[in-house]
Amino acid sequence: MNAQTITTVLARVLLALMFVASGISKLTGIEGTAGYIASAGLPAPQLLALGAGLLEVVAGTMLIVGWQARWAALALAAFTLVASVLFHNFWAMPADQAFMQQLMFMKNLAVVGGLLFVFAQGPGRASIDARRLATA
Amino acid sequence: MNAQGWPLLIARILLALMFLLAGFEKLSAPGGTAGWIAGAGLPMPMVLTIASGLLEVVAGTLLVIGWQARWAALALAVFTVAANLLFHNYWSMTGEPRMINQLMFLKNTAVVGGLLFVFAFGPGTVSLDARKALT
Repeated sequence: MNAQTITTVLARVLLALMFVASGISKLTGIEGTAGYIASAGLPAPQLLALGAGLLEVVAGTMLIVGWQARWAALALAAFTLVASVLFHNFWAMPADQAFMQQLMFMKNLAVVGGLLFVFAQGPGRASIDARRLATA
Repeated sequence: MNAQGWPLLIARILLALMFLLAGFEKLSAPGGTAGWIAGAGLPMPMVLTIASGLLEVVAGTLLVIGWQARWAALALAVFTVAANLLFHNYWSMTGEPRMINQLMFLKNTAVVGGLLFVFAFGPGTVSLDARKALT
């Protein structure tokens, strides 16, 4: 195991942690998430809460184990962009919330950048994807 | 055009943007940040504000142009981990600050993961590092 391999495993875990954590908190608190989604004016809030939670947990787990990791990263990147525009739209918020929401928005953009790196480079050698390539 | 070219330039810009903005803000109005740093009990708040603002702007710019990008990414990752532990220590907070800072902590942690990918693989082909490697 070289430095690049270890670094990419750690990087995948760090990138995925927030999605797995917030996915689990959505799935264990569907009502709260649905209320938040409804307050943004979106339809079928319970379905969306369930869908978002499942996407975060499943794609986050795929990113950690490195199975179809490029597509998991791309799905999470698209999800994060949509969530940022819908829920962290700081440009349309009152001044007292705008600062915090802008901060969240910028952090999310940085996460999208990191996920795009995974999409472009793949998950590295310590991954199910690399194992399958080696045995194919 | 391949995935390691222009898409990675976009990815680097997205990763760097938050550092550039936060860095410029620190340098243009150091008083506010210094007060915040002093509030966390750290010494020399003004010096730390200027230094962290410079680090964010310089390393953020290096990341965008892709010059010594691996080291810029590693520096930003270390800086983000330190800032996370010092200022987003949600585990010793309560109520709404705890919730918000936990969210910030997790987002910053994900950003560190992204930066470590840059450190591991380099900035891609549309970068000064790649140009130097060619010539």
